[in-house]
Amino acid sequence: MLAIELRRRSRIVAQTMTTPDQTAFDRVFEEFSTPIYNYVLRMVGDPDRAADITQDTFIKAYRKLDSLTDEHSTKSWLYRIATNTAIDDMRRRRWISPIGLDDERQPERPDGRPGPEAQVMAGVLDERIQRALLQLRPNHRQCIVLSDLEDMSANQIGEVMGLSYGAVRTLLCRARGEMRRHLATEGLVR
Amino acid sequence: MTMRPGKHDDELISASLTGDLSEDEQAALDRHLADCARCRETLAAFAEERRLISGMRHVAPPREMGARVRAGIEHGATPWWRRPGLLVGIGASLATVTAAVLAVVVLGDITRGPVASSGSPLGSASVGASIAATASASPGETVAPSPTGPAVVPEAIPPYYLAYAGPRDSVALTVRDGSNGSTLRELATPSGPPINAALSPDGRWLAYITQVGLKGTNMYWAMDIQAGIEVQLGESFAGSPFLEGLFWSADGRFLLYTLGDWQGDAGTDAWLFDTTDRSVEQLTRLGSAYAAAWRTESAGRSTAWISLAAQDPVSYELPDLDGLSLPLRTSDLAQASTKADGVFQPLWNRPGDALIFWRGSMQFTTDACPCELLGGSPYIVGNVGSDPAAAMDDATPLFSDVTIGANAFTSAAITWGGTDAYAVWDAQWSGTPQSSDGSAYPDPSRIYFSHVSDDRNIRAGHALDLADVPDGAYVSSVAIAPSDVDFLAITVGFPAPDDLAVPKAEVRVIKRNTGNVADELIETLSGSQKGWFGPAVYP
Repeated sequence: MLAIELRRRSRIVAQTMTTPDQTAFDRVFEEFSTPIYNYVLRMVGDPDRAADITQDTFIKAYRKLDSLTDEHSTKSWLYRIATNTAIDDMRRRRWISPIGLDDERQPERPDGRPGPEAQVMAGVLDERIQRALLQLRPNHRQCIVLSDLEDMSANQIGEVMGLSYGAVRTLLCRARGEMRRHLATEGLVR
Repeated sequence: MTMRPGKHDDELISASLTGDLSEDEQAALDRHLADCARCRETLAAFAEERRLISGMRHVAPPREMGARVRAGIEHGATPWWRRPGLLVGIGASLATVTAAVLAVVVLGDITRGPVASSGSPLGSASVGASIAATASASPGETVAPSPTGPAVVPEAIPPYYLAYAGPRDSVALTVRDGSNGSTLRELATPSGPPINAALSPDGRWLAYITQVGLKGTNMYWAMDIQAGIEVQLGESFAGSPFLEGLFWSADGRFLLYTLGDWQGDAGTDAWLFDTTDRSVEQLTRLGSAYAAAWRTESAGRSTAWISLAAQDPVSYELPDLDGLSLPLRTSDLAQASTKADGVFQPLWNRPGDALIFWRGSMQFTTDACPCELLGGSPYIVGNVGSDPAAAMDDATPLFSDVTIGANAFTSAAITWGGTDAYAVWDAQWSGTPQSSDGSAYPDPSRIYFSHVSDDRNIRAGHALDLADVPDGAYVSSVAIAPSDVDFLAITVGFPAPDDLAVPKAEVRVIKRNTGNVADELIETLSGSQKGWFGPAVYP
C-alpha cells in the first residue's frame, strides 16, 4: 500500500517535472529531502557529509530534470543520483585522505565532537546498527539500506543501482549474510 | 519451482522478506522451511536484521538544507574542496600527509579564502531559510560586518533576525536572513519594534512580540516562514519579562505564552497557539496564570507547565493538552501531573534535564499585573530526574555570590542555549549592591552568561565584557547559539531622542571568551537605513 501511495505521489510530482519548474521541484524536495538525507546518512555514517551529499543530489536533480522522462521513476531517479553522488564522495575522500583520515569505518566529525544530528542519532541501538552497516562493502550497504530502510523491492533497487532483478536478489542475500555477522559482532543477533 | 532436499537457498529466504518471490518460489520455500531447521534459523536471523535496520530512527535533515539547495541552484554549488568540514579534515591531515603536491593545491585554497566567509555560498547558506522562502535583496539594506571582526563562523550567525526599519513614514517589519541581511518575509507592520522572538524547534514558525507604540501594550504574533502565513496571537499589557516568554513545544506544534488583560481587570492567563490548524485558544482562565517552558520528556514529546503568581507561587505540569477541556479553571488543576509549590515560571532547557525557576512572592505592580517579585531569586537545578518537584527542592540560587533577603531580584530576563548554556540580563535588583567595591551588582545593564556544568552558577565574573554593549545602549534581548560554543546574538537598543523617532537597535554576535581573553565581536547585523534590527533567533 505504501509503495502504491509513493508511486502515486511520485507520478503526481513527475507530471509537472518535464521542465525545471520551481514549484514542482519544491514539491520533490519536500517529499524526498528527508528520505534521501537518511539514505545517504546510513550510507556514509556522518551527518555533515550526508548533508553535503543531499545538497548536491538535489542541485543535480534540478539541473537534470529534463532527463526525467519516465513519470513513474522519480523516486528511483533521485536515489540513483544520491547513490552516485555518495559514491563519488567516498572515492574522492579516499583519494585525498591516503592516511585514512576519512576511514569510512570510523566516521567522525572533524573536531571529534558529536554534532546535533549525531546526538539525535546517537541512540545506543542505532549507533551499533550504524557501526555494523559501515562494516559492509558499499554496494552491500547500499542494497541493504534500500531494501530494509527504504522498503524498496528488488526491482526498484535494480533501477537505482543499475542491476538486474536477479543480481539484486543475489547481492541482497550476500549483504544480509555479511550484515548478520557484523550485527552478531555488535551483540545484536546470535 | 522446487527446492532440492538438502539445498539451503538463502537467496530465496532473503527475497521472501521483501515480497520478491513468485507464488511458486514462495510455496517451495514454505515446504522447505517446514523440514529445515537451519533455514528457519536463517529466516529468523534475516528477519531480525531487517527489523533492526527498518527500526532505525529517521533523522531530520539540517534545517538549512532548503536554503543550501536554493543557494546552490542560484549561485552554483560550493565546490567540495571549499567545504568547511572537509577543509578542517584536510587541514588536520596535512601535518602528516606526504603527498606534497596535493597538499599544496588544497592548502592554497585554504589560505586564499576563509573557511566559511559570508561570501561562501555554503557558508552563508548554512543558516536556515526554507526552500519556499522568497529571498530577495533589499536595496540599500546590507549587513554591516564588523570592520575588525574575525572570520565568520557559520554556527555563530543566527538564521533569522527581525528588522523594523525604513523611513519614518514607511517603516516596515521584515524577517531577514542572518547570513546576508536579505529580506525573507515582510510582516504586518506594528507601531513599535519587536522585542522578543522564538523559532519553533522544527524551524518553521517564528513567534515574536512587538511593542505597540506609546500604548503600553505588546502584540504577539506567529509566522509560518515557509508559507508566509502570519497569525496574530493577541495583545497584552507590557512591563515584565515574566510576560514575554514564548515557549514552543518540542514537536513545534504548540506555542505557549502569556497575555495580560490590557482592557479590563481579568489579570494574566496562559494562551495556546496550535500550528496544525493555526488556532489560538485560551489555556487558562485563572487571572494570575503565566506560561512557563515545556519540559521535554523524549524526542519530540514535551509537557506544558504553567505558574500561578501569588504570595506563594505554584507551578503545574499539565497532562496531555489534547485531553483537556479549555480554558482550565482552578478545579481543573487537580488533573496536573506535577505540582511544584513555591516555584514560579520554570524554564526548562531543551533536553528537559535542567531548569531555572523563580522563588519569591509575586507582587502586584499595577491593579492587574502581579509582575514583580519580593525577595525573589532565580534558582537552578542541573540533573532533573523523574521527579521534577523533588529536584526543585535541591535547586541552588542562580547567582551564587549574592545574599537573598527581602530586597532581592524583582525580575530578570533569562534564556537557554542548546543544553548547557544560559544567560540572564535586565536583572532588576532592589537590594544593596552585592559587589565588593560598591558598583552595581547584579547590574541590569550587563549580561551574565554561564553553564549548567559550571558549579559556580553565576558570579559577578560571569558578566560579558563591558565592551560587548556600546556606551549608552541597553540590552533588549539575548539569544544563545544552540551548539555549546558560546556564541550569543545580543540585541542592543539605543535610547531614542524622542517618542516619534524610529527606534534604533542592532544585533551584535559575540563570541564569549573567558580568562584574560576578551570577548570577540563576530558580526553586527544592522542596515544602512535607520531602524531597529533584532531580535535574532537560533534554531
